[in-house]
Amino acid sequence: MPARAGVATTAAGEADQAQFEVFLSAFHRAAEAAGAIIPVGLCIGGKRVLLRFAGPGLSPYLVPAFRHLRDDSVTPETADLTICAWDSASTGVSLPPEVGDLVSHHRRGMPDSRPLGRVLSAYRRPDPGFSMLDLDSDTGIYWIPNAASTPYEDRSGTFRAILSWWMATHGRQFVHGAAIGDARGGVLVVGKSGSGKSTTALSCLMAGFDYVGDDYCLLEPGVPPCVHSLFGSAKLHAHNIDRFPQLAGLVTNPARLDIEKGVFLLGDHLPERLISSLPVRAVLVPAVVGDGPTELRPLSSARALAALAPSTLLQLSATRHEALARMASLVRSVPAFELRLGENIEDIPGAVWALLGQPDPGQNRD
Amino acid sequence: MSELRYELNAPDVVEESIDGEALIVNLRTGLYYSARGSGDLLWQMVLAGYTPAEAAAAISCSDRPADTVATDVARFVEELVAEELVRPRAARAVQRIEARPVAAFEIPVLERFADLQDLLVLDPVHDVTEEGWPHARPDLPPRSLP
Repeated sequence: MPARAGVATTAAGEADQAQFEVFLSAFHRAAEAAGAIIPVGLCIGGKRVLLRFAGPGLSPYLVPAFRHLRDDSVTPETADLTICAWDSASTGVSLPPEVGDLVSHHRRGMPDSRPLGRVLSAYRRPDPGFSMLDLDSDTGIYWIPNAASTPYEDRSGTFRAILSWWMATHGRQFVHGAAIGDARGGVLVVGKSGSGKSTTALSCLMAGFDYVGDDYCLLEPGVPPCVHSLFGSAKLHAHNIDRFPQLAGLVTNPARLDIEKGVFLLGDHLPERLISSLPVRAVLVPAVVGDGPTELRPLSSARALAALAPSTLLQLSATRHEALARMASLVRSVPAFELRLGENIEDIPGAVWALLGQPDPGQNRD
Repeated sequence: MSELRYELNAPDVVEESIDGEALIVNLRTGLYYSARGSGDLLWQMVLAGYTPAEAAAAISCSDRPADTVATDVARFVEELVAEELVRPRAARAVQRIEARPVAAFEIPVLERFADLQDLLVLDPVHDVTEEGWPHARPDLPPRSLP
């Protein structure tokens, strides 16, 4: 595959390219062995993404989290980004050793702010499998050993490495946060795991809010800044599932809650509530207080950035140097609040709607 | 040390100053830091190429002896170096910072946060199950799910 004009080639770059070509050839062998390529078109953040699965083995595990973003008009000719995905168990094709040492790929996939090369790779971070992306051909490849044992992180939303790298080169930043509201505007809820993001997002979803995501969203800076949906799923620690009796029967991994978060594929059950994009009107940083009322208190932009940026940067793979600046741009442009979560989870939606200055939609919906 | 100049220890370290507070993230160690008020101003001065002595002299302070301010600034910069947030550089100052007069100089503090380090520590070969990162082996000490 020729290098893009004007881009210097290096020995390391050529080696990366060779590994990518080997990986891509293995995908095609897997597809041939499986008998078909299963295409799935998506529209993510306004970009056309084409998933191509080698045979029918893997797609049932990975596609449901993207169901709300399906776009069947996407073709190989119109796709902005193509992601090829395969597993060894269902296709009988092993990962060729020529793709290189996976431990070194893991190291390359650690958080970093070096200028991105043209070929990027990551192993077991942030996704459980092996990812490569060639920015010249806008093609990513993802592999896991066995579709039947797809980890729950993949089932709730995968291709994070490939999507975050590629979207970063197109003005969109992965952020670790939840987003809810409606098409007129909403809030981005940020903080480290366990801070109450999912509790906030799901309590608002149950009260009638539209839902962009509960773990990762795609931030597009601008006036106004927008967040785009990535995954139509939600994850809850087992001890929190009982707080949402409407969802309790929808958990997809009930037998594994001792070692996994409960996964909910919302596109299967609440498709009308999943929204692809949302203008951001405020940033909320939840804090579990445990008693007293649920209330909002103004928060400095710096504190909001501290809640958003480190957990985003440290969970992802290599990021462009402007990632932090993009997140800072967001907290400079909209107000931030601490959302103090009191004893009643039912109070959360009302506090958020009061902030947005809109009537509670739960009063008008079933 | 008071005559040395420093620069950001990029690309391991990224930073942003906003509303009088600097957020500094070390992507290699998983530690992140906050410096407010005088600490934010000094952080920006250090990145702009001020030596600790120049930075201390540039901060006009009405209620604190100059040598005490210099000592506080030097200690703060030593901490930045010890945490590998900055590294020495040869070039002179590349940018002048508006030396905000400090009516009441606050001893600069570098707050250090280690609560997200777990996100970096798993070894992909030895510390995880066949399901991969971030599933820690059950025989290892418990770590929080990311």
